[in-house]
Amino acid sequence: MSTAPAAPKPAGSPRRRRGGDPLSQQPLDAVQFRLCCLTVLAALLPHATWLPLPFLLVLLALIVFRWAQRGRQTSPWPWWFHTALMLCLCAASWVAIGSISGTQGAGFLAAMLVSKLYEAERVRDARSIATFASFLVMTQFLFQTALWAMLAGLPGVIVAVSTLASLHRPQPMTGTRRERAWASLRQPLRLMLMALPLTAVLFVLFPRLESPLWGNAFGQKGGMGLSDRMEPGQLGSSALDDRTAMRVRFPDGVPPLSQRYFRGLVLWRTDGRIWTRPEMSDAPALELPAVPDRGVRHEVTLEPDAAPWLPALDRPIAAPEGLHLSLDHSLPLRRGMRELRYQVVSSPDLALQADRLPVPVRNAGLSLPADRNPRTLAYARRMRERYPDPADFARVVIAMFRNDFSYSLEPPPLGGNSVDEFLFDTQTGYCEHYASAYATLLRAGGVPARVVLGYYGGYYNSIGGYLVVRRSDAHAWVEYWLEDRGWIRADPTSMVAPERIDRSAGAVGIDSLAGLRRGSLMNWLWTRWDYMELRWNDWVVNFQAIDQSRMLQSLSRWLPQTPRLPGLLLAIAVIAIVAFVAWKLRGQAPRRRDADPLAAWLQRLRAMLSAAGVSSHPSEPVSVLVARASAAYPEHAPLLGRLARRYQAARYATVESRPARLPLAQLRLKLWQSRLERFLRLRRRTVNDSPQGSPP
Amino acid sequence: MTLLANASSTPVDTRLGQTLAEVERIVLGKPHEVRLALACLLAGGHLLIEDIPGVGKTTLAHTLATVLGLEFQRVQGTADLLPADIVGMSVYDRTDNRFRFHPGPVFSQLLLFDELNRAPPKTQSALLEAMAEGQVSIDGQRHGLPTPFFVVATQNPLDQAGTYPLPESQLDRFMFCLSLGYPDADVERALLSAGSTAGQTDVRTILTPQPLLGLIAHVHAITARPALVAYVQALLAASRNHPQIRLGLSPRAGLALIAAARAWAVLDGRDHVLPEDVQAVFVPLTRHRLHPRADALTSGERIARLLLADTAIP
Repeated sequence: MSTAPAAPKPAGSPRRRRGGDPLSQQPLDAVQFRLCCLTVLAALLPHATWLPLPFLLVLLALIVFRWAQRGRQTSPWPWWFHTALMLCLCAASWVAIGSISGTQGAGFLAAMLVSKLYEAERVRDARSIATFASFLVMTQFLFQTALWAMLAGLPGVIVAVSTLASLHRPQPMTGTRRERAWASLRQPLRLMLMALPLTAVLFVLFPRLESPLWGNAFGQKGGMGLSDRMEPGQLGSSALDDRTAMRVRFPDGVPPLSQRYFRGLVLWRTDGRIWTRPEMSDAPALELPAVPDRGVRHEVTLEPDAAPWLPALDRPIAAPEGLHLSLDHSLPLRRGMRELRYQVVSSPDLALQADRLPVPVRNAGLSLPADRNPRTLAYARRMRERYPDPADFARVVIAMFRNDFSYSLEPPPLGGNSVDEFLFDTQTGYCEHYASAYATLLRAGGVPARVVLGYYGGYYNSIGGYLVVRRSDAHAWVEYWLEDRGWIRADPTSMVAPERIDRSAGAVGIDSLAGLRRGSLMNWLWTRWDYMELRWNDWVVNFQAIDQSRMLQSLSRWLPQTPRLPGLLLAIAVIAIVAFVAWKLRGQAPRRRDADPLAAWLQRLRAMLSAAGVSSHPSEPVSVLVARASAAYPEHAPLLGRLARRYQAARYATVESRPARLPLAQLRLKLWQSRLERFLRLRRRTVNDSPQGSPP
Repeated sequence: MTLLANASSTPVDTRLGQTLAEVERIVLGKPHEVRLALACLLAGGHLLIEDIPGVGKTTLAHTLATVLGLEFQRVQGTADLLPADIVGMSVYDRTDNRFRFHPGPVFSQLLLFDELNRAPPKTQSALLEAMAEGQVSIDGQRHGLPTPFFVVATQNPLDQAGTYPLPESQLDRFMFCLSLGYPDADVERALLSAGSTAGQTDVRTILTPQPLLGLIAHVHAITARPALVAYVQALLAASRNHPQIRLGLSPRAGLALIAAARAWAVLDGRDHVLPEDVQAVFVPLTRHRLHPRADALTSGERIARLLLADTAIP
């Protein structure tokens, strides 16, 4: 892309004129220029989701200014203006987005496209803008692959193709305003429809890479539903995030709400405020429990960038293919992997490590920073002394949350001794606060405990028959270890806000969108939209190299297993290509089938007869042509006569009718047949004659 | 080519068929020309037969008049023929003490004007108003001509001595210009053995003027679809752009072309016009209207055939 001013080409350069389309050198008229502006706007539309707002506003202002300015004056900008503009936009992209290369470079591309408007003076410039704009639309898929993103890109492509078409039209369109608008819209739609089959074939068959070209295809800016750490006030922001995090199918029926804990990551390490995950817990589980008979099978379709690990119904007992269960029964995602759809088996009442807890694990489950949350530590020790049985202790401590505590998504901010402040001062918070406080209390009391991050609840989509889990369903709970019973799940949030658990996040207060969603129409629409999105993810986004090879393998099962198969496929391909080329080349004369289907039909008949040795001239009426053809092929005279009469009736008869169906295929076949027969007869005669003809 | 293909098909109306058969019985060996002549009259046009003497021009005109049952008058073109000899004149009547109009031979349903190009130009142009408007004006009074009114004129080729070439405006009034030509050898032998005026006396009358008028009205109702009109227009345009033509075909020629093609379609038993019909009538209809350039060394007829062969049927 060059932002240098379009240097005026020497007008008399014959090489240039011969090579190029004369139209491309014409100056842009006002309508064409406005179309260009619209194209750029439509191409920016899908990027509006991720481009920083100030940057976007600058680009919009540049477009609007150029629109208004070109209406007044048409003299081109000087070269130094283009250079300065490019440098400014380069700097702006750097400041606003942080980079002008890599996937973030799409923002820089958008800026360059806008600057290109300032040098659009000729049709040629406008064409490059339209082409460039359609490329810019495609770059959005570096960031987002959802169904709505595809839909948001459609206007950009349609407008770009329509603009390109209008820039290649030698004369302006005629007709009323509405007719012109419809015609300019219909053309790109038709082109896109025509391209669909090829696109589908390429989509399915084009070799796919095992991993995306750009490292993690989905940049880190997308906003994680959950991260691999937990600190106070973190989940609160995602409680308002209404996007879908994952969809879960249960082939054997959806489990009851009380069991719908989707286990994500287990957090072991705490500094008194932030819970994190030590590397060691990614190690594979030492002992895998025997898979019980009645595991809950389910298939999870994870939205891109929803989590850095694979959530599964608590507790997963068998990892998906190619993955392993970690020590604490979570499914961490390996770097560079994009497993977005996977099948897991879970067992809700599986006892983990019931018989013994290895010492390092036990230590990790008890470690607390000694210098933080002194009030909590003291309180926990006092309580433990009063209730020496760990089970009693855990029960009493969790019951404490039932009194005086309240649930709120907007709790007051907490300082360094966050658990102390929460337990004894604010007493207001949500699942993170409760999980963190409960786990700290348990550890201080000598009971091994850990925090589990994941999702809870979900909404059952009856159209698609699956469970939708939104990012606002993110949840945190606690697991503690008891001798002989293993790790036990405890959800302190359920003590303080049972409704948070009974329904799900949406039920609580401030989530107005979720409240609206329960309105029947919104619900109806949303259910269907979500189902469409699932299909999109299933069929398009998640179609990966492994699916491709699997599909081709299953396809090859249907093919005859012969050693000649490659040759056969090659022959079919060659025949298909030859047929396609022949079909494209048939009837060399220019034809306007849309304008006059009957004329096109006659053209084909003439070409067909000409190929059969009966040439004709366009000034010859069809009856004469057919009479000559009948003389050459008497066996087809009735068919020829019928065709001619039908043509005459359709074109000239008194009763104006839709052009009758005039099947030429039959004639084509018969002519070939006749010619083949004649050829064979000739051969036979030659063969028969030759012994007599040859000298003895 | 086309002409032969169509000449053999049967007419829709049996009366038309009988008419054709009767005329062909008298005018031997010229079925196509006979058919063209009848088509001309059905289209309401006037007919010019141009040929050397003695090939049956007058016989054709005479036979047509008789077979169609038309009131028939005949004028012989001579160098001293006056306009009044054709349209008639007012003569003073002593008994009534006033002028009385004596209609001339033009007041008939079919006027046979033999050797039109031997008549002086003034007389020729007297025919002009009668042919174009179906009326004559004498002494400021207009006298309507009977219906139907046809003029069948014959003329000798222009290279004969003592002729006055017809003006272009008058040539344009004739729908067709036919040329009979010498008969085939077989036909000529039959003709020679039968005698010179055989059958002339016993020509049967098949049609009367009233059904003939009905047929003419029917011809005007024949369908000509836009595709056909486009073909006619393409032919007209081609004639105007042809390098060898001084003067192309007028819109009136185009109207005549469609009318004649309609008549030809009726004779073929169809209710719609095909490009074949246009091609069948194109040469006789245009050969006297197309005027080659002085240096072209060609005839209108040859150019007409060239136009047909060059113009694509849209």
